Amino acid sequence: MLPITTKNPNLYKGPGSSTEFNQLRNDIQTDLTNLFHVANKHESKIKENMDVILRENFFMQNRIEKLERKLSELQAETTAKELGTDSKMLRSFYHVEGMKDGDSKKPVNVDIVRGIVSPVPTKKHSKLSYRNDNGEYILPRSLNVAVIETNDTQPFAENSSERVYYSIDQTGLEKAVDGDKDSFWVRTSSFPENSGVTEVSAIMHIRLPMDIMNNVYINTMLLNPYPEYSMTILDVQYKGLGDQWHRMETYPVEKDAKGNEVPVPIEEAGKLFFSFPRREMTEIKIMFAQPYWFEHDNKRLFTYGFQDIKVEYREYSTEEAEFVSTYSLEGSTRRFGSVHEPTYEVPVGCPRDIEENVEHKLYYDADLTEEFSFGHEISAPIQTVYIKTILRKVGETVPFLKQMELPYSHKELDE
Amino acid sequence: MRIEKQWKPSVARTNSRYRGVTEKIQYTNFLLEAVHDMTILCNIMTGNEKTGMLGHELGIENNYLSIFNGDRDPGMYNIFTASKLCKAEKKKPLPLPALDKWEVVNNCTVTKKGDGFLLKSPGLLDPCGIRTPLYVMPGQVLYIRLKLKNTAPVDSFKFGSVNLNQNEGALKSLSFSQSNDGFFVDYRLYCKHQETIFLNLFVHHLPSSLKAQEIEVLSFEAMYFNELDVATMPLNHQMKSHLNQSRETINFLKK
Repeated sequence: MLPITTKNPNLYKGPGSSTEFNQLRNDIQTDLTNLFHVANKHESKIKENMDVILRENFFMQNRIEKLERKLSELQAETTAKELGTDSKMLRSFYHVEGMKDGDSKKPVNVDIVRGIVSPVPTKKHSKLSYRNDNGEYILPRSLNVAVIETNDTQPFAENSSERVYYSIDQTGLEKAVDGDKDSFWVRTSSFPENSGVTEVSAIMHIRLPMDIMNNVYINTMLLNPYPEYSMTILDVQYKGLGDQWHRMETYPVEKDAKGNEVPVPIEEAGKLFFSFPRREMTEIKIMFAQPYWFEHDNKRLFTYGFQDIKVEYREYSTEEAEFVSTYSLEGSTRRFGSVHEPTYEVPVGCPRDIEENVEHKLYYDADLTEEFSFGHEISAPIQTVYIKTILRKVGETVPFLKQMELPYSHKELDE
Repeated sequence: MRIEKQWKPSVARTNSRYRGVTEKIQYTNFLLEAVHDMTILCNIMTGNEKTGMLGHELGIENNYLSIFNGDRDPGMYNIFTASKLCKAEKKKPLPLPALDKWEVVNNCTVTKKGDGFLLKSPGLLDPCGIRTPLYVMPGQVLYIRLKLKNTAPVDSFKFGSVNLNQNEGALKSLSFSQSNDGFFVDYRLYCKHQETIFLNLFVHHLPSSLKAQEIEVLSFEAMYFNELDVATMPLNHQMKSHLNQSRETINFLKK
């Protein structure tokens, strides 16, 4: 903001005109009003940002506490178990330490925020928001987002196993889909302490802006719930050009007691990435719940929202992508006795049947000169091995990996 | 929770060009208002020690320091900086039988009614209800949620445990002078000892006058409860310590 009030031009020029006098007064008034407007904006932004950080901080503490508890259980378990010579090494993709490019012409995409490695997408077509050359996010007018809410004290709807939903304030909902990672849609549902409410659930219904989409194909969806590690994602469904709702193909499912396929709730959801074969989508429904609440001022405050929801069509090259991971026993008195083929874990929401898409190769030197077979006994005193992992798109299926485990046996260096 | 302040200027656009000359008093007022507004703006930006106003400058600094190293309390925010984070662990139900399998206390009758149970007291002996044993460990929090319905007044309906924490007991008491068509009530039991306790549902327990009464339990849920006191955890002094400690444990496990 720049002030419009200028210095008095009549200092050495005698009396000013009434026009000049009036202009000065108006300018001062405009400047002061603008300054107050800016001050209000700053105050509200400072508080909003701090609220976001505070809530994240609270749920991080919860996450840390749970991880520490799991770790001490693991510690007790491991101490009780006698250690053999067979072991495993873990490679996660939340960092790139011990990881390098294989062939520089075949790079991989490492998403350290979600801890996922995949081939590099060559193009991303957003179906919700657009970013102009000034870095501003633009939402099409025809995009429609709405949320309805219920809680576990609401009665069940007639002839249905679903509770009765009620409408809520939709203010700021566009912040969930505007593509800006720094803007949040946050809602706090408040109930009296003696209400007996222990969970709030909601459905977000997104109607895609069909009029500006050149095609309705979608193969990627990113969900960043807020506060992270608190909400439960219950299901994600879409509607094609017909009237039928379908579950997103890669959403995790299981069979219930009657043998029906039911969605598996993704509890304490972090940032989620869904990749699936391309589908025509015109509407999307995200069902979620918040089982955590804050107790404050004799109220139960259920806070939920989304930092970002992205719906995209991503194009991937059909060429191979590769990376090399280093596994080392250096710093110990052990060496590798044998190395077995790594196993991998696929992130929730990504294709699981990717055996054809992933290949591993074993090397004993950093220059990857000679390939060795997995499972053979190693007689040389080798403390570091290199695994080249090749990812390739086969048909519509793109491989995504969350972590790799390298099973190996070890011997003492002097053995 | 704090209520957001909206700062408003005092100056007003008074010199309409169709209104003739500006009077002296208007000129004086404008000057005073402008000076007042500038002072307020200064206070908003940098604070005012006398009035205890924090100001954006100190607010931003306090926010940063509270999150980074915990040297100050958070300065500007809308929510709270300490609270209790709660979750009823629906996936960890208490190992309890159905209500009609609970032990009857003082001639209470339990009959299945729809999806729920009807608990009736003949009004001869007090307390009258049902109970079931449960083994608990120190630190556990038990959560009970009931959906109740009554067609006649109910005096001193109680639920909880009579002997929790070495006979200290913890019971929630409810009385209804009118009929109710299904409402939720819940209660938490905090266990301090390793012991076997009784969980109780009393149709009446120490009522003002002993008489026959009944209550319908439309739903009964009992599960473990997770409660965590949270306050701002600074990155540098606390969060990193927790991470380093975990890293050390992992290193130990890898050896």
